[in-house]
Amino acid sequence: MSWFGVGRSEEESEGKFTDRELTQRMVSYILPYKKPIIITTIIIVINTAFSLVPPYIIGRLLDFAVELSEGGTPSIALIVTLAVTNFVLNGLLWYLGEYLTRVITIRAITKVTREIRMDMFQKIQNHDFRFFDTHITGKIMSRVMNDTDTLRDTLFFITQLFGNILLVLASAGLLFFLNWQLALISLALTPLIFLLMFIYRKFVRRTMLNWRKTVATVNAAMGESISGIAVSKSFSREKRNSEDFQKINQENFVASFKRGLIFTTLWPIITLMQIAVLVALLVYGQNLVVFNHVMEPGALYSFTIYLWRFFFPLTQVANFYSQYQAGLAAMERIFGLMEVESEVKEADEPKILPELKGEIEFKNMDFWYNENEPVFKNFSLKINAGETVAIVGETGAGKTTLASLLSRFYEIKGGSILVDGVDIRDLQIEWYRQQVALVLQDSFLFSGTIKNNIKFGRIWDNPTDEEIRLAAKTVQATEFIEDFPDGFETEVLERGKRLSTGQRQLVTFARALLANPRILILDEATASVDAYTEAMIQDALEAIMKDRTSIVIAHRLSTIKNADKIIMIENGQIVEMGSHDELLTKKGQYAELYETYFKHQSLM
Amino acid sequence: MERINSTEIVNNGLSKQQIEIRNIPDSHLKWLIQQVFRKPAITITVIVGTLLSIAATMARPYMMGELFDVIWELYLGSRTANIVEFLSILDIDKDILIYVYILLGLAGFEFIINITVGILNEYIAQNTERSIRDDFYKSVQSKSMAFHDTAKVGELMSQATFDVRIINATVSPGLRMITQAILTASAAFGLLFYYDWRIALAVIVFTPFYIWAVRNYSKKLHPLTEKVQKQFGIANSLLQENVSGIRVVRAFTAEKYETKRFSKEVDELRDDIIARGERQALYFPPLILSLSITIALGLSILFIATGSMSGGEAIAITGALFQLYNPTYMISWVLYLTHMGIAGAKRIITTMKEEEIIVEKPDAIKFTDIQGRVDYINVDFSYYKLREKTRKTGTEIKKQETKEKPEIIVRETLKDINLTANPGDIVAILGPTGCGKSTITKLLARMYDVDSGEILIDGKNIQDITLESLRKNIGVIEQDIFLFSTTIKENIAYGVDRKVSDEKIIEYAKAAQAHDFIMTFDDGYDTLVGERGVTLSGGQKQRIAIARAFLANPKILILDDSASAIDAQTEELIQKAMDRLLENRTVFIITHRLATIKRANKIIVLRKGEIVAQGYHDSLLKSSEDYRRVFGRHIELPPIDEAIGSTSGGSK
Repeated sequence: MSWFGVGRSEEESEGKFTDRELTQRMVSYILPYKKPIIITTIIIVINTAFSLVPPYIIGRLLDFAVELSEGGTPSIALIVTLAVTNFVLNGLLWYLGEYLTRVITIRAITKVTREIRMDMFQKIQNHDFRFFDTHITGKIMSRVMNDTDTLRDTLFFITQLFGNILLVLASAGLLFFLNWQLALISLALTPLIFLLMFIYRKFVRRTMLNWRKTVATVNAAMGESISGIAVSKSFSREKRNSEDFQKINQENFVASFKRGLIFTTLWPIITLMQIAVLVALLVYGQNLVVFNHVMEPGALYSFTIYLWRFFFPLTQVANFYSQYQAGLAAMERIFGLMEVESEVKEADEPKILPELKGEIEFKNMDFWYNENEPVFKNFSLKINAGETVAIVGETGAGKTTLASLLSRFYEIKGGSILVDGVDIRDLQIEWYRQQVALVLQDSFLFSGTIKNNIKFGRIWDNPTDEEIRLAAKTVQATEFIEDFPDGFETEVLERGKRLSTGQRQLVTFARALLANPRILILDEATASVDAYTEAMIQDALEAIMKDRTSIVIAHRLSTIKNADKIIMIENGQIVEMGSHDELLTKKGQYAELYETYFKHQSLM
Repeated sequence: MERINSTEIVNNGLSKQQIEIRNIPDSHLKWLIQQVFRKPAITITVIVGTLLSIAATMARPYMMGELFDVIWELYLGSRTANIVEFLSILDIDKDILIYVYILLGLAGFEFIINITVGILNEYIAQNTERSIRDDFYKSVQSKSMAFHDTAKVGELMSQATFDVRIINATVSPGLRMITQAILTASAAFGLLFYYDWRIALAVIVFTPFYIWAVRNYSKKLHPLTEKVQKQFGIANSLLQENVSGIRVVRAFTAEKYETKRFSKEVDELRDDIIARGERQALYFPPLILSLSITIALGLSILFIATGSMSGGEAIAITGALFQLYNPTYMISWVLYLTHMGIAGAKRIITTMKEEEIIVEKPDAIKFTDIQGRVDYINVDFSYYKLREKTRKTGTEIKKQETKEKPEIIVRETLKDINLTANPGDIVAILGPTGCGKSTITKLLARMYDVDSGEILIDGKNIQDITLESLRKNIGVIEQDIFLFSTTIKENIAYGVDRKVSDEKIIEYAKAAQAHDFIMTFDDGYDTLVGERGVTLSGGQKQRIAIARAFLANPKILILDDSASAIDAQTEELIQKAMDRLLENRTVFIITHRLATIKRANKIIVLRKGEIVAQGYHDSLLKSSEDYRRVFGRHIELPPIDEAIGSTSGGSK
């Protein structure tokens, strides 16, 4: 069994939408481009109208020439005129029209794809964290980048659809005009082709969806194994990884092959049908010409040429159906991603407070990730404005969750969280989050310079370089930053790989400071810096925490001790609360923890 | 890929991997062709099959011409005859019937060939995609950490999915198209010459102009195509980073900024695609063709009129001429596909050809039954040099990235490291942030190679040991715990090749104090942990990593600040378990926790990449300024306040 790409990323989008819903959504994207589509349609029709003339001319010309050869003198001028007309109509105008449709089409298609991509991106920015807990990056990416790309083919067919339908009708009319008997024979093919497409439709949808899924899995596997390469290397797993990947890749191969087969076998079948019709036409046509003298051989020849002009748009129209199914498969995945309901929703009338003092109150709050494993039940806690609160408890007790809930990354299931007496669900999310800064356990940096990474903390109002430097200085990061030849302009690479874990943590710390929040949450913010640096930060910290509400999640007593209030959490419940001294005298769990910890640490 | 026999390997002193890398041709087109011919028999069958199919297609206008000659003859011969009779509606002339059979036969033949060739071609295309991707994956896996440090995950992902997929498209329908285009064009010309050399010449006169136009198109299209793919990679990387860092984005309300950034790249991608599309639309060889056809047509009429050509011949000629339209358009497509393929190939090859690997000597020995003695002798190491090297052979993206001015100052990350650990020793390493603590341990597992000096295990240079046996003997619990998005069980068993019983996994989970919290989950050991273990708390992740490392049972263990996210209570429990777990192993611990440090047989103090002191806690406290800087204040403080980390450096 392979280890990657499994995740919890269940493909929940399947069957979530009816074809009608998908089509409506698609149409809403295409509708703004009705002008290009109309123009394309017109050009296609005009172009084809012009191109219908030459075969007729050629047929007539040949008959004319053959008759001339029986006796008569050819008029050079006439021949040249006819040939040039043919060139202008068949060559020049056609080329022009072709050029225009291509340019117009590519613009429209590409713009639609771009819009879908951006909408997906924006939707992702609003999904709650539950979504990211259960979806793998590689699979999300595959939908945004690869599935939209697949949609291009379908979009192309859509832009050509109306032109082609008109063409089918027009050339069918022309065929009838030339010879209704022959035309009837030719039309006999139409229901057959549509029947074929109808049968194919289901296969197309299924194989396309399968294929898209395997592509996403390959993408996710690739991404995850690169992200986790250090672990793989230290366990010497490269070979097994490759074997596992081969299996995933093999599934993609099979799905992709099946998809290929559908389109490869379709054309020969259609071609065979077309030739069968052609032959039937010739058999009957020769009868008309040779035995009945109803038409001239040249006219029969023209007819055969027109027949191909009829077939081409016909197969395009028929093919549209299967292409559309392929598109629907992609759309299902695209809209499936966009439609994920975020539990965290902006209030109908979001509030912005003139000033946030920073009083926090959890009121009978319930929360769980899985219904059977409640994290908080009827949890209540009040933190006064400006207080520094340390949260202590075993790993998995819910400390980080508490921080996430306060930042409104997840929506609570019951009760409420009040800030300055206002339910955070009533506050404008963007404004509220700007008031709360969170330093996470995992020090995530973006590729880019150190400066830009710190700047990220208050990217919404473009802080000055001085402010950035000051924030770095406050957290004691300046020393190591200036040790780099490029200083603040040092490129940290993806996830900040260029920096040591401790250095990364300092940068994230500076980032949070720059945000100048009313509420500061430090989740193990100093766990990875050395004791010396931490001690230095500690001094700075105290000054920083002074005029704002701070919540510190820490295992180091140094941080905990100085807090105004220590809250000990166990299984989502507060078991003890009070200042360090109070709790020590109480001789409860905290005192015990302190004793154990101290015993453990104080061997000096 | 070419195989080189083993004697040569020894002679060159290159490892198998290096040879494989060097065997990748520099020419992207050549490599692409190599890939397409991975299964030469099938590829050749496809080409031959396409040839037959073209022959059948080409025969059709010829047959039609012959057929119409017969019809004309009959028509002219019976101009006045035949009264319309209802029953004669199905009358068919014997001569015509033959052609009808031929046409039907040809169609049947074409059908069978097309289906067969189509399937085979599809197989080759998919097989090429699969093989290249497998190779690419293997290649990326084998690259050293120096490569991965600078690589962009999203970029590599884009190469593995998007670019490889594009090569697939180059093969199918590209391969058949190109064969078809060439054959159809030559056959059409053959027919023209067969019928009338004068008309053939009239068409050929345009060829140089035509070729020039095609080449011009090709030349202009290439950079545009390359740009699209590169931009796709850039957008992909950005998206990858955004999604991975979504928590930070959200925490600092940078959604608008991120959206702006992404929209900039997506807009550029859109513009690039449009630019490429517009260039494609400008393809004007069809215009040249239609000009030449016009002239040929005029001539045929003239020739018919003057009696030197029959009407049927003229039909066949027009048919052949119109056949030229197909290859003309196909060439445009083939060029488009090929350029995409080459651009993809270029990106893939650049990654694969990067010789950023840890070289395993061809005669490397497999390490068994090690004791665990470790010696660092005069080890120097620098990341900067590494980057300098990477830059020279860097991929496209890296070249872009390093537009920043190159580092002139080469600062050593580690300088003259000398250190010995005996089997069973616990070595504690400490020093300020960024002083090279983690780097020392990374060198031991050959994540990077030393610049000079050597590292010995049991007296053997680690560079003489096979990578696998070396790393299998070294366990690492890293600072940032990385778990894979699978079950807890599989994460714990990650480090072992053989099948592990559930009992064993539970036993180790218990030892790492992970069992209890695991059992609180509904699915227990089968709980999925989310990407990077996102659904677990820091401490939970760490305990799983501990179980994972110990199950692998390495002789040498590296603990990189691995208890930092664990609460005091749990740590206490783990420490007890650790005592047992650490037995009989050589352990390197990076930490600032006094308790751990005090258990160490040896303490190494680092500053800016140099060992400034080593010894025992008590002696260091007396002798080392740096050590005192970390712990110095303890001495002055009353015992109750001496919890670790609460101090600031008193002796700066």
